[in-house]
Amino acid sequence: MDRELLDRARTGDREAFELIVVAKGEPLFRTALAILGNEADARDATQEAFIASWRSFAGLRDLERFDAWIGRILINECRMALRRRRRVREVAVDDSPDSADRQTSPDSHESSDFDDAFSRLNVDQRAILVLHHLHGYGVREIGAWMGIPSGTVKWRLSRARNALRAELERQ
Amino acid sequence: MSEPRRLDDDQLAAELERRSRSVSLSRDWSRQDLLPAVSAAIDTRPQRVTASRAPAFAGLAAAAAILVVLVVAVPRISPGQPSSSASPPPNGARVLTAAEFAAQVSAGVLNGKTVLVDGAIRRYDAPGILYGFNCWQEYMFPKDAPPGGDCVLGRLDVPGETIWVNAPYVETLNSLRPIRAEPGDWSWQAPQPPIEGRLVLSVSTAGFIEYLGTVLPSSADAISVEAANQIDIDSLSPEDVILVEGWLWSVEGSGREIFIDCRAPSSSPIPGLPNNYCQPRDSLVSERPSAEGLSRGGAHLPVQRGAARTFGVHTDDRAHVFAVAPRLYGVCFEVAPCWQWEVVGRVSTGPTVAPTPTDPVPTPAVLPITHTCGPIASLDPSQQDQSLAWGRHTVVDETGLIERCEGSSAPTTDVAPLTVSNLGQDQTVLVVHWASVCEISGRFTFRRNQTAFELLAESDLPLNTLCDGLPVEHSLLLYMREPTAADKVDMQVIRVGTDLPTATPTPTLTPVSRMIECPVDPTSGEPDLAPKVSLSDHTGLVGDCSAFAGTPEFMIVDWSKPTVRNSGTSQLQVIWRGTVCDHQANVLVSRHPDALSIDVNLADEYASCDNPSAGYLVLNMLKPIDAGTVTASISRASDSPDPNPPPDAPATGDPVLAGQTVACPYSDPVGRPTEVSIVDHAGLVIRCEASISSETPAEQISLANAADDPATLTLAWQVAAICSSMPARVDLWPPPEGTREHPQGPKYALHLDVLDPVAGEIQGCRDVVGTQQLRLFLNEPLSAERVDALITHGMSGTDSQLTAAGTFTLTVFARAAEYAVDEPIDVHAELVYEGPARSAVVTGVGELVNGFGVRQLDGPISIGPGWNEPCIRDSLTNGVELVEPYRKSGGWSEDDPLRDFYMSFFADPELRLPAGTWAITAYSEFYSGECGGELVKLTASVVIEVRGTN
Repeated sequence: MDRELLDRARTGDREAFELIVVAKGEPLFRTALAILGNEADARDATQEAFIASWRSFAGLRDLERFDAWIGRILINECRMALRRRRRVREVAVDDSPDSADRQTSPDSHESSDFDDAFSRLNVDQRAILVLHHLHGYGVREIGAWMGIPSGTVKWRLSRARNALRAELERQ
Repeated sequence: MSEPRRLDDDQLAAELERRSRSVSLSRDWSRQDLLPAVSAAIDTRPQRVTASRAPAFAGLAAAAAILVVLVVAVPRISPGQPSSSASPPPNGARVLTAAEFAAQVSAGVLNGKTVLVDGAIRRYDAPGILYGFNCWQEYMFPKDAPPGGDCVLGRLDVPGETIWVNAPYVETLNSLRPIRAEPGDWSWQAPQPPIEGRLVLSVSTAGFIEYLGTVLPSSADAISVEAANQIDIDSLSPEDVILVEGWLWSVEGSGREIFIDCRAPSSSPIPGLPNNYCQPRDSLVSERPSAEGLSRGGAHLPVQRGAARTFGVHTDDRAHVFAVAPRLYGVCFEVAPCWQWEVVGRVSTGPTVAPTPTDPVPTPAVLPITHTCGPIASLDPSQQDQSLAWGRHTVVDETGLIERCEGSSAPTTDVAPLTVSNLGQDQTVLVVHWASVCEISGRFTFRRNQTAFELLAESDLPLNTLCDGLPVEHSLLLYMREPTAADKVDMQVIRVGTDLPTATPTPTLTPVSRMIECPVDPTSGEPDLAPKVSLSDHTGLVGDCSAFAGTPEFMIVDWSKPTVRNSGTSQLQVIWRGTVCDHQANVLVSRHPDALSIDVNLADEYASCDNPSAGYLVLNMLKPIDAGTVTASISRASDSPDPNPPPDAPATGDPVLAGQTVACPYSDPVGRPTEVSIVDHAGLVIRCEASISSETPAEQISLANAADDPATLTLAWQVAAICSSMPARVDLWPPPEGTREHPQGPKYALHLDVLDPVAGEIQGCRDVVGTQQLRLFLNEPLSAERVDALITHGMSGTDSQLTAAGTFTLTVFARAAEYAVDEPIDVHAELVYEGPARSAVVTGVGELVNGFGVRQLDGPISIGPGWNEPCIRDSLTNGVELVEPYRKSGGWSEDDPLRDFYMSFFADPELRLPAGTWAITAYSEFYSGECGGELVKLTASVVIEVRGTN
């Protein structure tokens, strides 16, 4: 990301910020979609992440960390999206935490199984798998996104993969 | 049953890619769809960033933004110079320009008032002092205590004037700040300048100015209570203030009874956050309350308890305008933490002022008044057992002298008679105290008698009842409108109903066993999942019961047994972990000499069903029962023990094989042959095989027998990356001589030393967590439970080992890997927290590194450690190592053949060891947070050689 653009946005330049939204919008939406599995939630999370970033942009001290910073905000918004969804959840016979995830039409039975299993992971587990296996981030980058040490990333990545495997085996 | 699906890395990536591409976006979606939505939201919410935007927008993005602003037509506050006159004020509210505010502050006329100011707060950066910037350090504050003061935000933007504005730190979710935090975490945060808009500013009586928030433009003209209820509180930040017009009303002191929902919340409390669990809340109401209470048709907005007392005492008949903002609470019926409304100020003018404790309150005209007693406000909520039914204490005041009452209840050990006294010298408070097994109903009547007053305590128990149970201590504070000496108050216990003859023995001492079918509560939990619960009561203490089921969302630390807790002094909740297939639960309630026992037996319907579900049982007891004294257990119908368990004969090993090195061949990730070697000191290993995979193990190291062969051990350990070279060494040690038959003595020891590859630092590494596995084929059966597996990382050439659990890391250091006999051995351990917070609260035995154990790998000696298990609160500062030098602990029996050695060992202040191979292990066990929280267990070992002649 252009440092000058970021610097302008940090000082309150709305036009610069809007260019950042245009440039980063779709990648962040795709990340949120992979985490949440629900288009409406992913749109909301992406939108809220940009709004939150605008509100606190002046506090971004290290512009080099912008990607990790807004990624962190996005993950928090994904977390909030799931919380909001749970709050309005009706008691259902199926106690899957995120049964609404399934509205994303699967291409196949196996994909549906995967979505079901993935939706049973918590948002941090989903995020760490998305960052590592979808975006190919290493542990240091993930640590920056999630604000945790590299060693913890390794451990959480291991736990997330285990959890996903357990959910797949449960089906 | 279909084969469980497994994914390799490529398949996982493909699935995630499919998931992320499951929605087709239009070309230029970010510009045409996302950007307008973001821009509109920013424009309709309070501005926080300097509006130094370019005068002319460029391109499509600008056009879209302008279009949205025009369509939304939200009034925006002009930044920069203060206007000559502020926009029209809401009903009765005071709205000033920044210049007007500055002038009135200087004149002192705003002291003690809260006003609305159209203006901006700018950050003020002086050399070496970054006002406002420091508000960004808020996440460093520990959570167990709020920051010690306000944050100096900066200056109100008024030319020629210096008006400093401060802001309190409030509890906030970390979603809006680029700071390190864990899921669901929160921190103390203050707003960040620049801030502009319609500011809510409070001026103290000393002229101290505090920023309370910025008015949402949509509520600038003050909205109704009905409209306030429509606002999604989750979409706001704590700095967003809405102006609401209405009356503040409190049920307390109103003479009304109210139902307070004190059911256990479905999510775990968040420590440190405000907690209004089981407490009445005040309300902002749309219609003026009358002496009879609220009108049925009016709307109400729940706000914090005490709001009416602080902001809302009216001496006129009109509604007022209150500033209301979201605040974070830690105990919520659904997901915690949650946002709840709090009144932060009253901005309307008029003859009313915030009351002081001495404010006269008109005596209600309607007598008698029934007061429902809330918890004692002066007690720390954490010190009160809020699960007990304080809410059942009511006082019927026939005098009009009682302003309000507060009460508390807690289990105790001794009974105490009913007494009344004054609170010290303060005759405006009457203290009623008693401790009883036979619960007095908690209903009192206060009235005048011929001499002065009398307080009648009603009891619905017959005379001479012998009560069986635990005493509960009650305290009741009656706040009087005028001084009332306690010695002028006569206490009486009156009986309700028919008293029995004094000679009649109480039936509670001769309980009759009975079966109770607990009906499923159709309104709670997930009734479809609830098992049929049959309760067998052998105590006579169970009144009735109800059952339900749900997803196990409770933060129950120990699922190995049912959790029993109070939801009232006489109500118990029993929660257990079952499955959705449980169709029958048989519950036995029995009596031990001092406590109750509740045993849950689940009948299996499908043996393979493992979808978890929590079972709940609510027991309404006939007496107060402290859940802490109840023991509980759970079992399954399929848990019957194997009547003929296979003998676990100790392996003996082959002395001919002892000491040999066995190679375990395998192919590395690129197909080249390589091997792991095992040094067999036990003489058990015939051959071995190794493998490596990208599967991620659940544990750092695991050891198990093969399912079909008790003479095969499978050792698996986690590797941080998969490389072409995976150096590892395994030593298998036999039980030390003389301890083999000792049931608690040392067992076989398997020491695995791994040089952890680090991706990027060693050529040929693949940056994935993987599993290395070793299969040991033995010459006789050996149960894995008889083998202690110990892992060290890089013993060769290093002298320190570490282990990590989440954000805590324990490392043990030795000065060298080899020592001479009688040479002092320098060992110490370091514990460090590297998490998101400035510090971590931990609870443990007092020494966070509990102790050190010393084990001779090639001999019989095993020493310590030992420690008690108190709960002592401590903290670890982020990144600062807690250094613990080696210290000795442990014990031995008088008949131990090594008694003399142990005595001399403990007499020596230094650590000196005989010749041999030794593992020195540091142990650290503590709870993250308060006692009973997440248990952190860490061990780290170094293996050293001591050479020479003993």
